[in-house]
Amino acid sequence: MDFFVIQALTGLASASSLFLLASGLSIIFGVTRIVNFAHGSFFMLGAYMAYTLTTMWSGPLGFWGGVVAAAAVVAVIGAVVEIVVLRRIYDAPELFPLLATFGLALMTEDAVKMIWGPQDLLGPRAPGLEGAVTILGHPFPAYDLVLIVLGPAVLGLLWLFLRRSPWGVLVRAATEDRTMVAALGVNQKRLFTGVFMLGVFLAALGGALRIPREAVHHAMDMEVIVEAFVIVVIGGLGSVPGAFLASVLVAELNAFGILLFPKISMVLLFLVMAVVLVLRPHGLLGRPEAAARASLGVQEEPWRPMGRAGWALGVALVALLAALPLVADAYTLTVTTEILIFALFAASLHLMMGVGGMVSFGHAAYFGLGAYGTALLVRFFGAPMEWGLLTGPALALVGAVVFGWFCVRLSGVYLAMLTLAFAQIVWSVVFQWTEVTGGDNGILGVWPGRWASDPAVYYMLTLTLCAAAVGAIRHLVFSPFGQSVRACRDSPGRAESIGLDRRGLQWLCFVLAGGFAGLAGTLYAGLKGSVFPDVLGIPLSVDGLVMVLLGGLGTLTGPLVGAGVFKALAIEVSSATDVWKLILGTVIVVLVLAFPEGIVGVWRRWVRPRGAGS
Amino acid sequence: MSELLAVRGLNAWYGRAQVLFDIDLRVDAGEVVTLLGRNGAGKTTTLAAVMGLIPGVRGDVHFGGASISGLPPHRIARLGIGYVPEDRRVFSDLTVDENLAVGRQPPRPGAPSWTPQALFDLFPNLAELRRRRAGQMSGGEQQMLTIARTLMGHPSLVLLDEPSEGLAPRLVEQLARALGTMKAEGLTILVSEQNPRFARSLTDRAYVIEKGRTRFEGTLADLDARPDIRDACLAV
Repeated sequence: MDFFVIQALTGLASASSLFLLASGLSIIFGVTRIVNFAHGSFFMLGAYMAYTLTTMWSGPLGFWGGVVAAAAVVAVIGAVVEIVVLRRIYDAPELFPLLATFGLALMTEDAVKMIWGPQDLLGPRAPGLEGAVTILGHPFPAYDLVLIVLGPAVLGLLWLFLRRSPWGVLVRAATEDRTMVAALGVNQKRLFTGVFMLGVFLAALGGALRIPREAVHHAMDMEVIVEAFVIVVIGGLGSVPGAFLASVLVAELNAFGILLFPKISMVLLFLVMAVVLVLRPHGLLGRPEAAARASLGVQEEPWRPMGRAGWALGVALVALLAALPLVADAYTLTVTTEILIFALFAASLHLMMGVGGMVSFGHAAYFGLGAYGTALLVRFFGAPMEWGLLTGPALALVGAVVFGWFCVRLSGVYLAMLTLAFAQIVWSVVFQWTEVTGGDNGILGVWPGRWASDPAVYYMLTLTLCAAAVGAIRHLVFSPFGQSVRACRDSPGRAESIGLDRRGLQWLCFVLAGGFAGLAGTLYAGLKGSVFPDVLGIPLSVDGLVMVLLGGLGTLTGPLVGAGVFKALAIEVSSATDVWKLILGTVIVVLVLAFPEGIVGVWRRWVRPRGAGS
Repeated sequence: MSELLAVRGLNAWYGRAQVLFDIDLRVDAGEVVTLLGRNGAGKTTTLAAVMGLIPGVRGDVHFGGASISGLPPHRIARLGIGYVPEDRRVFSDLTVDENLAVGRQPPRPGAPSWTPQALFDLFPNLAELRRRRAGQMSGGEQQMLTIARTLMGHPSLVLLDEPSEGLAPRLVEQLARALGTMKAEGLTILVSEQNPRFARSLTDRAYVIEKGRTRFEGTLADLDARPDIRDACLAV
């Protein structure tokens, strides 16, 4: 019993730092609608900065002053980022800022390594709080007690600030309707910068407060960002008390999960999130998102089937690709095969996001299920990999049927987070179910039969299947089914009132997208000859998002171009330099600033200008 | 009377579809001007375009002699234009007092200035609901609140988008009385309406727009003499 109390207290101490992180994320999202992927980076920067300042200064004042000063310095960095990067893209399509913050997160990771080095850093402990107090006969770190008090204290301060201060009232008003706030004479730019600074300050403070408990390292950002997303979604987007409640819930889950259910400890967090979202689609304390107000004067360009020139171009491109084995060496063919596979992956994600209007943060789940559907067949039945072309997509389809059924009950960011939760559940199962999946060691020897072992043959196989699949997706988009799905995307209410079964259509779209991703995953397994849990991981899901957004959400060609550009860049840059994350991140940020409608969107604007400009 | 708002050759697009074609409007200081037209005629777009809420607009908008084309909405608001949208965008999570606080701006020389007390005199219903969350009020009360919130910015010109829409007849009368007080305080008002009978006694001049084009300009008496316009462009 005593042990449980101590464990619960440890959980509460972790909850405080998580709460600081998550409340900042929640406030930023509430007002600016930015899903800030770089939030974990600010948390990490706070920790590094606090390490530097607290080792430089001494005494209690040095420690606590260093912690607060570190958060303040990082908040200023946040303000600069908001002014230089984010401010320019608030009017860009919804997910573009996400892409920019992802680029920033990549940059930060390498920058931190350059400044502080790759090794773990152990900061000083809080003066006067190095020891332990005895609780129920067990020693308990004194610093953790301070943290336990600090969390609710910050919650109270934030609550007072948002309720009582004039600026807080503006923040709450802007959370509801920022356009109206601007029409009442409030300078949105300053408000957004202020909110972003506040959110970053909280994140950095959360990071800074962690240094006496654990070492600072350069992978902290990705470790905490997913947890922060989960917390914000469980608590309800934009709700500070919700973030607190969810922080406690998540921290206690972490503290007890590893003890009670060691086998599924990693699944637990995402399982809880999935259950919460299914029961309460807007989180514990969240409110239904106000139907996004379509801003006046902004309208999607309707999609048109390709004209004859478009088809000719497409056929020519495929023919050109088909001729590649005549001139290219094996390495080029392998790289191109990989790019083709990711073009299909991006196209399948675009089917879900661009066509179905369902943003997925976990599309790797279906890619990975396709890969494992193949690999397991090879491992347990000794079949050659090409039989996996049936079982891989089939397993992905099954996954998409089950997960999709839940997902289409939600919308917007909540839906996106539920897809992430399912992807993480699959990842955790694969990672922890070593007997079947091999866990971290993966499954090796997933090679195609001898006939396809030559890179050129495998390349042609991939080209054929990918071109056929992309053609099929294109066909789907302009079929009556595709039109109905797009109607549900653009105007759910009206679509339902003319008799369209919105959920059914979106579910089917979700499943089809999952199946195509599964095909891509299968081909990937055969290309690499092995499958590891990475194929289900968050980085891959994010890569997919980057490809689709980089190419442009509003066009069908976009994801293909995005995949080509991103993948080629990633392969080239990562083989040429150690700081590829820094370079890739910079390129992404620059591309987002230069092409706020995606590469293809801008291309179209030049070639076929719209009414207002002509 | 001096010209307060002048709109010349206003064009607007939704995507590729043009929705406003060379709209011309003039509102003199102290006037109440009514913008008449059917649903979808372009009234809301015109008012939102003046307020800087619509991207890709072409045309000239002058306010108080200076061009405001292309300015962001908050700058336009601070120059003294108040905007009351048609769909009662109250901040439903905030109390009445807090809603008013969001609208507060420093007093502006030359424009009528309002205190919360004066606004509660203007809209007595609100006085009893100061701590009530706006989301829990009736549609009529919310409409009063949006107007009061805009007046907290001490505008010299108010753009009112279909204020009487969906209100009970008793509330419509109350609203018309409030507009009368606002006019008497020296406020200039540009109000869009589908029904020329609303605030008829206050209206100095009217414009009729149809399918994004100005079809008529003059007094309501002039409009009565043009049954062709009334029948073709208005739902009466």
